[in-house]
Amino acid sequence: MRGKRNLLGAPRAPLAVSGAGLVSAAGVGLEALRAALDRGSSGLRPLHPAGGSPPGPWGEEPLDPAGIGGQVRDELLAGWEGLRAGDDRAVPLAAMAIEEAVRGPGAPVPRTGLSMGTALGPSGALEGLLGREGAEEADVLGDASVGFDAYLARLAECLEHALGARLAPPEPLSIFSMTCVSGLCALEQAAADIALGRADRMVVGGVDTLTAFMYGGFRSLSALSKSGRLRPFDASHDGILIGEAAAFIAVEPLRDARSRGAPFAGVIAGQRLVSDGIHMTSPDVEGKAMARAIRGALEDAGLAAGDIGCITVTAAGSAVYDRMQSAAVERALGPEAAAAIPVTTWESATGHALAATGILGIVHAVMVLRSGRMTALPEPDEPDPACVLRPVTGAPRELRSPCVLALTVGFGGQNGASIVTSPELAADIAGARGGPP
Amino acid sequence: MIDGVGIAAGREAEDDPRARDWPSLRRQVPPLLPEDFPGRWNPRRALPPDIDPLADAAAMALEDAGWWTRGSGEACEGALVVASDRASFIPAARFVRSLRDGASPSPSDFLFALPSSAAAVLGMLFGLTDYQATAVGGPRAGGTALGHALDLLRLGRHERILVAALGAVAGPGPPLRLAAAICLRAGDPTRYPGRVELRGEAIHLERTARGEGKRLPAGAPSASWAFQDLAPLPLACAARWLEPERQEE
Repeated sequence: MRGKRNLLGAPRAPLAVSGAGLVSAAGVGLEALRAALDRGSSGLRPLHPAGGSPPGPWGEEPLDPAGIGGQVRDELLAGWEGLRAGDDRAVPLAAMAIEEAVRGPGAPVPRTGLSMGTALGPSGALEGLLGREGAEEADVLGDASVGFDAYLARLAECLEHALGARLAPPEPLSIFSMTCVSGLCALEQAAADIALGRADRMVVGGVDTLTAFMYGGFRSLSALSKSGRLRPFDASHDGILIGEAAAFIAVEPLRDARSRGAPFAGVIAGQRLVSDGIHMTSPDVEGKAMARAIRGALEDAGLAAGDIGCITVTAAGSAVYDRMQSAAVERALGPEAAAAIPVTTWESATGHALAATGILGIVHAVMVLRSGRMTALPEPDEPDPACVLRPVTGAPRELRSPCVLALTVGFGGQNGASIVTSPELAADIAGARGGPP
Repeated sequence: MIDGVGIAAGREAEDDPRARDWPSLRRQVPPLLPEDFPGRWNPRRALPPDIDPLADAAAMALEDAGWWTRGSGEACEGALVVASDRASFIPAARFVRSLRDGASPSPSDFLFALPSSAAAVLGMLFGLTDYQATAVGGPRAGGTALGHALDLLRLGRHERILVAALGAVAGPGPPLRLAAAICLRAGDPTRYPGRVELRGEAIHLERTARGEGKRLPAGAPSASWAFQDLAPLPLACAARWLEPERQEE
């Protein structure tokens, strides 16, 4: 086999994150996550049975009486004013995050599109249809109301409502499914739509719900924590805990965000997605593909290992994924940098957020940049000796450089690395490259 | 720009009258076996039946392009964009029924209920690891995938991309599955005298060396009504349109 190239292609133009919205087990809004992380509290709790809307075929019986997961409280979703009969649970989840992402000061944007990701799609509606007594494949193959296209169209309606009646309907629209990096694939398309002049701003996100279908799937794969505790980078980590979430961001060219007076705290300066291509559910423990993604994202951004002030990771409590990310950072940045750069995560508050993970990583990076500090994570009982990376524990730590590396891992050997910087650093880089600040 | 094309149907198509008037669906290459992928697939395990037509179409396109040699174990190197309309609902239905009935659900059924698993398998089999994405907008997914790949090539993000699409349609018997694949490369046309681009909802296929340009609107031409609402249709049309060129060579 030929040696793998490091340079994966042309860099992408930097994009300002001019809005962000989040609904997760920590609550509605970015501030709910910030507060949960500051308090050290978690939205992970025993699952309640009515986790699907419409309810799944299990009625009031819990799928797993001992199950722990990150469910959004039903009353938060039921209180969304745009809810329609027959909406999948994911619709209010995503709609509230979309509304938060496009809310904010600044002149209106004429053309806004939507690009989104999901692992299973409207899994509550699918579960209801597929699980009906006597249901056949033909029912779901022929029912246009539950497909991914109908799902995308419904969320485009929600975006249109959030934008207001005076603006054009959202266009272009696209939807991708790539497990936990789904939102990052959507971001690739959104960046292309902006670069090729199809939209002035794109709303990009990921959403999945914690239905019996989803929970049962991860349980069948023996991926879930038996202890019910999320222990990233701990020697006793014993599996993941999943949570439902929707994370959406609004992205646009830096100059456009500035000229219309939209404040932004973060700039996506680089991103690469690389696949392992070796196993359906387990990552390459050597982290070679993730290391390529990290190097590619840094090349995109025009930055080096020494510029990174913080790494935010997918820390779901899976030993193999913790160790893979640790090995990848060591391989890409060197052992000294891997041991020295502070590492943090949000997953202790939300659980592993499935298709929302990639964009949630970017949202979290923006939160770190905005506050200038990393919140402390629960102290591990015993740090995993196989991991060089060390999470911030004890007390919050100041960010020493306004550049965050966000790592996203997903089933099927998917690896995503995103570089998110402050607007000032993005301007410095652009100046050094001879472009407009 | 177009290096290779492939089109295939699921094994159920042999008994399905809807597939009879689509000559391209007759098997044109030997069935894929684990031995065709030394070091890339456990030879004691069968290739996943839920995606067999997709793997067939991808193998045809990659061999046609000269990007992959059967049995070599070499990685293709390149990006992969897959389109999936409702084919993943078939294993999803099996999985949900198992849960409902209290049976032990198959992990494989859950994996293939995830539309992205098809891309993961193709990535493993052929070594397409630079970038993977799966477009899932129902029948529109084929156009979305093709457009995504063309954008990435145009912007220089990737140099060559396999675009592959899998679709399923209900019928009186088992769901009928169709797959198509096309190898796209940035740069001047060589293998086929054709260039492909999306213009709005229409696929535009342009002859670049011989003949005249030909516009194929999405959804036509089709030899069978059954395929008009399937994600693979844009790629299948391209493959079918290019077949005479291949035969002339």
